[in-house]
Amino acid sequence: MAQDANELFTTFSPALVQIKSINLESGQKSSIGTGFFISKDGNLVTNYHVISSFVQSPEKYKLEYVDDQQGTYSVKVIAVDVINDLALLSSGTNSDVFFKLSEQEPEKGADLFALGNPHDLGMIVVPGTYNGIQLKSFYQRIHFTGSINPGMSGGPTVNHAGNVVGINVATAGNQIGFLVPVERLWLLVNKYKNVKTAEVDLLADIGEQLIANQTDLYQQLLASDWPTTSLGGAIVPNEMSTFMPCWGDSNQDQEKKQYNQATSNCRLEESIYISDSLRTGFAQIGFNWIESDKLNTMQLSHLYTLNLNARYGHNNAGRDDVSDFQCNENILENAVGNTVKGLMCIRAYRQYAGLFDVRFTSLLLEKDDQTLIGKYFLQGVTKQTANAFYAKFMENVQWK
Amino acid sequence: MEIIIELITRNNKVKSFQKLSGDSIKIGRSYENDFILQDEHISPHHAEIVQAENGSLVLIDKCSVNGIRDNKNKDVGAQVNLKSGDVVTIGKHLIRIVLPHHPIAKTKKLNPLEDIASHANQWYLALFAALVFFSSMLVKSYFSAIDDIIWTKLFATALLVTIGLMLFPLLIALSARVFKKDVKFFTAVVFSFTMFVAWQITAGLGQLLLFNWGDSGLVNLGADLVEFVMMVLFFCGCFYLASNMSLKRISIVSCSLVVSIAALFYFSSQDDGAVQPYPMSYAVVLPSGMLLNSAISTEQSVDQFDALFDSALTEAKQRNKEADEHE
Repeated sequence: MAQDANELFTTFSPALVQIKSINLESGQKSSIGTGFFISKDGNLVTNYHVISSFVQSPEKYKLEYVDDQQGTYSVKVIAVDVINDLALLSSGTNSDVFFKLSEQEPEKGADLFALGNPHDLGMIVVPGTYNGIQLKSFYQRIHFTGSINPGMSGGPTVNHAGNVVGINVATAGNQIGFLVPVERLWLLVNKYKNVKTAEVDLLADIGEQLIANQTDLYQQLLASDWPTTSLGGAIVPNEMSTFMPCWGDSNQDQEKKQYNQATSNCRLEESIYISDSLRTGFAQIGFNWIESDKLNTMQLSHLYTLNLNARYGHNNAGRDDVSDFQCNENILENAVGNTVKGLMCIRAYRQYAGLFDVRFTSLLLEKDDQTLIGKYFLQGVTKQTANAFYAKFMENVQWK
Repeated sequence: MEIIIELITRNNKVKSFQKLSGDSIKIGRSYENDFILQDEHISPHHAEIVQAENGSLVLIDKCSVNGIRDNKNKDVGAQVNLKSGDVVTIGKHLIRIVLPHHPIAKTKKLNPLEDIASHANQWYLALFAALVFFSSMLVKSYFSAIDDIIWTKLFATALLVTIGLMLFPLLIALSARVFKKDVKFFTAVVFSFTMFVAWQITAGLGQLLLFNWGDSGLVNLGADLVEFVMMVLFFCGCFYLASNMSLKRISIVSCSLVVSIAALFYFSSQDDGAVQPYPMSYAVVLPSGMLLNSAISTEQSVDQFDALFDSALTEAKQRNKEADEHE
């Protein structure tokens, strides 16, 4: 294995470069990552997040790559894929040494080698094992046991033959790394095979990718009937999909409690990186059932009010990325005729017209000694998706 | 010769008066005088008023230590002619000399408010009002207690608030004393706590509106209006009990005070227009029995959400436009 690594290193080090995004004002690098040549005519691949600052504000940054001889050259962006965190770049010069993209999936347990430039220390090779595609995940990622460190982002992971099987994207702690499968790169490369730089309006393209992706995601989530489960005296949706796991909790063992409470929270943990201030694609839906025979109805109402207005969901957008939340409060009727108090809050994305963050908080009325508080927060969805999700929610949350 | 000497304050309020007659009227500290003033700055035989041959009054300084000053605080010298209603300073006292035929102001009708204020000035009414407020505080904290109730804590807190708010009637009484209005402390207590209870009741009504019709602009506007009206009423009452201002003046002062307070609050709560990371809306929940509004269907609510999407989009565009103009 050590032999392999050494060989790989000497063969491919000219095809491996460091990508730098330089802030024009300070002249300093604002982000670094690894990139690699994939063709003779000098096309490079890296992660989108390595070059996102340039894509978002091309007037404030420039992109450079540093080759193994420490030469620095400028590089241009052909296209990006924000969903899979990929970027296709053009160096404008020919490269004799380049990586070939693998055409087949590796076998489980196969030895792989992640290449990259962690912590700005110089090129390294990290051996590891292929563990297949991550199961409970909406976005396809290869689960790789090997340390992917910051700065290795955008580097290739290759098999014994030196063909790229994945692109390094993230780490989940010790010895667990994630790679974008090379098929995603194939799609990007083929789509932009004959495209030269500056032909693609990158931001408009990102908007389209986000819209297409959310359509895809919510079609899967909304197509089938949601499995339901009972939470106290109410019926709530259970795991709607494998990529949206649910977690539960209760205050059963709390001392001196005045009320019983049980919660269930389902979350899509993955999100899409757009810029340092904006992530999107995150979704969560949660329920909180409360009952009490100790508190009177006024006290319970106060408790419900506190719970209904408790902060829900992470804010993943900066102040310059979105509008303020616009809210509408109403007494609603769900699909089976239960009365619901609902508060819908919506904000729009400034850069990506047609995408919204939607937060809905609701409470089942009619029974004073108990209630069900239901909430959801969807990030980066269209109006159509938001309305479809709302309708499904009103169908699936009800008294037992 | 018959004259009236009034002892007055700087605000022309009469503290006391005396009707005197004789060929000359002597003023001073000595008990031999006709009009005696107990002030160490006044000489034993300070001044004298006599009638001149032409019938006019003359005030003579009888070589006093501190002299006599006119209403412009200038020494009048050895003697000065007086008209009915003239004011002079002797020592530290302001006195007004009036002739019996001096014109007087029109008779005022007895104010019904004054009647109510006097009737309310009873210790048991004050105690009752404070007790009602104390109980309302108690009920309020009891209704919002979601953990084990510690009654002594609830009582102590309500009592603390009640005692703290007692400062208002105390302030009114103190001001009344300063402005030489007769002090009606118990009326002030009754009035203040009635207002505080009314405030609690309107707040409760506000919660009912919020529960039914939500945190919408109309409800908030109505709540603000009610709040302003109540504040005006409160200030009117305070000023009425604490000062001698006319009712018209009281209402003008109260209204302008409330408007200025509202303006101050408005200006102090201005923000820079930056986006808030979380929704600012607050939904109120009450027992279902208090539900008065009817529910709308999913389709109807989706139609209403349209407006939210539109306004969010419009705001986003507006912010983009502003950012472009800024650059």
